[in-house]
Amino acid sequence: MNDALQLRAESRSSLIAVVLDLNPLAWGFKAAQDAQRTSKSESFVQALDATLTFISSYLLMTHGNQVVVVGAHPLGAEILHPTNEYSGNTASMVNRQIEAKINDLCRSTLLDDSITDVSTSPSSRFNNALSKALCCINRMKSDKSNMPARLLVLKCGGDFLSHQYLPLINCAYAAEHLKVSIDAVVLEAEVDIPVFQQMVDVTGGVYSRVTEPATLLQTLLTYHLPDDDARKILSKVPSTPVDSRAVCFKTRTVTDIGYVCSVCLSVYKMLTPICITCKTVLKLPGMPPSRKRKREK
Amino acid sequence: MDEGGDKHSGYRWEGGYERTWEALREDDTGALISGSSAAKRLFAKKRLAQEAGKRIHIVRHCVLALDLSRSMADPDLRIDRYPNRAGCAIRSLKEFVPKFFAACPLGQLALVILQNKRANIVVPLGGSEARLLNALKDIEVKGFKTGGQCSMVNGIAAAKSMLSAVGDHSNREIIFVVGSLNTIDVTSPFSTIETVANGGIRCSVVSLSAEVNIWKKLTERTDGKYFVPLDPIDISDKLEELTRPPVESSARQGVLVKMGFPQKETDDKYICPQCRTRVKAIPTLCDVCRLSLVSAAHLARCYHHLFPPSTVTPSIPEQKDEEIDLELERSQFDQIKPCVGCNFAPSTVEQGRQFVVCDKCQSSLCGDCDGFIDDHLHSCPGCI
Ligand SMILES: [Zn+2]
Ligand SMILES: [Zn+2]
Ligand SMILES: [Zn+2]
Ligand SMILES: [Zn+2]
Repeated sequence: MNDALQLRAESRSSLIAVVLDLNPLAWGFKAAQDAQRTSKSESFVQALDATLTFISSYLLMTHGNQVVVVGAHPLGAEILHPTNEYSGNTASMVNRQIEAKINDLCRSTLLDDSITDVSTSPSSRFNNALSKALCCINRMKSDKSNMPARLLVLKCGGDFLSHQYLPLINCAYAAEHLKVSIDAVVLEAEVDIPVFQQMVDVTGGVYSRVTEPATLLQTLLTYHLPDDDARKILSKVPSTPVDSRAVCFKTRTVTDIGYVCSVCLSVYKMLTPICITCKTVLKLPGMPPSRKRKREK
Repeated sequence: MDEGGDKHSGYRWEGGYERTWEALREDDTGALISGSSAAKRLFAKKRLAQEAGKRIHIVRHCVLALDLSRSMADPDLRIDRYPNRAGCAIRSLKEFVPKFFAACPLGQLALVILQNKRANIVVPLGGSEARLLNALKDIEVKGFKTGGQCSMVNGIAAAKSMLSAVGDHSNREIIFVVGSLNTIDVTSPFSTIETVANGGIRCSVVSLSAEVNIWKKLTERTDGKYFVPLDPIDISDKLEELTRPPVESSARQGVLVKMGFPQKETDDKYICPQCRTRVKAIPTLCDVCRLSLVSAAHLARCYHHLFPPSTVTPSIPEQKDEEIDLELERSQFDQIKPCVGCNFAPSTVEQGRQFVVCDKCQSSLCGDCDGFIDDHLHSCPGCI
């Protein structure tokens, strides 16, 4: 390959960070360990296969493409690739490393009994995984003079991640700052995940919900493989309505109209005289202005 | 004024010199802090921590009043392709606008130009970052045209006409960027200062010339800030200080603001939950029922102002003694683990100086990630 061609290929290369859900409870590993293999844990193998194929396709698409893979589980998040052992970008080597790392993780932490311990939340730590992925992108972007980058999150199950809402939204705005779009794929039959929809909406990515594990690969390759430039040319991915309702700080219920404290922005479904978060005495809307201001005049 | 001539030409000694000393900054105690060192980040963290949790008004309505009178054509401030004070002001304002909306997603900005003793509203109050940037770019494309004199009273009147429509739950501000040493007014500026002060409008001034008594008085009476930047980069720094929501000093009452959280439909429009009107973008006021429409994400983006950033300790603390114990530094360096965010491990002691340890989870963080966390992520990747 001559220099000019090399340069052109290099300049088109891009980076993708993939966040993989390794939650043993969601995938049904725990059940599978004691009893027969359930169909759910079968689906993990299927999903992992699909993801690895997706990663290989991405790496083979353009010379110089790079990939970061982060695994999210209930005890934290782990960078599966690149590592100190292998940091190259040969598709087969990358796949082997990811499989080996997941095997190690399963043996050590993921099948540990502490994971089912009631004291820890059973959801995967997507906020940690996403912030690690973004830190990696931030570093690679500054090293490689602004190479285009994207992020793909793969999640199993319909858990709403309400405890991670704030850090996840911050991740979305951090991604927007880096000009990184976030794609989300949710393996779930019934419900959408609002926080993922909002993250996708903030960054201009693609959200899809896969109901059958067998169709995961097809979804990944058709909707999530094309880069931002190619997406402009391709026909639009069917979008779903985005639920951006707020949660009342007092009753923890979702609401589409609420009252917001002007001091700390806590949301309340009903009028309340004192903000429970910042303890400010609140003037209710539609009441005459307080006496203090008048005296000043 | 020299019209049409090459604005960049001037005396040779007026520009083109590398002002290396301008990169130096001082901390609270007056000690010099350099570049992007861990010390500088620690200093920034300390300041954020001081402001966190104080009564901060996050819903800001702010009018930018930019002086484009003849005094702004002075080339005493210049940098890159920005030939004069006006250019430097535009350069810094272009940085200010995105930072303002990042810090206050529910805030609104307006732009007023002070020129020829008049005040023209160029961009009315609104939440559109693009519209403001376009207006600023427009001034740049037209070659930073300046003319006439600057009037404070007219500027305040124009700003007040927009701010008076805003409910008193929000913070109302005017930020002046001026180069004039005087103000030419039809009425007494002193009585105008009294009326803005009583109206609860906070006025801050960035003066590109020198400290001017009348402008300083305006900021003092209205609880604003007064800055005289030293150089073009300092203008950006001072304006950045103004992007953070102001700390409320008086015990102003909080209010409950009714807000709607509309769903985004498949056609990219939003539907007001109160009256079912369709709107194109949020945050905005519903055209029909005047309900404030925002998304939960807009609110969530503001909350980090209320919490102090995570505290960290440098991996290789600065040594106070004259003689630096190299062996100690070496042993501290050897203990640095790879960064919890990006997996980067330092290869030299110099790189190691950038590393810090999160006080909460004891994870190692490189300088890049630590800065990225403070500015954007707002949570440590290692903390569970
Ligand atoms: Zn409150
Ligand atoms: Zn409405
Ligand atoms: Zn790092
Ligand atoms: Zn931490």
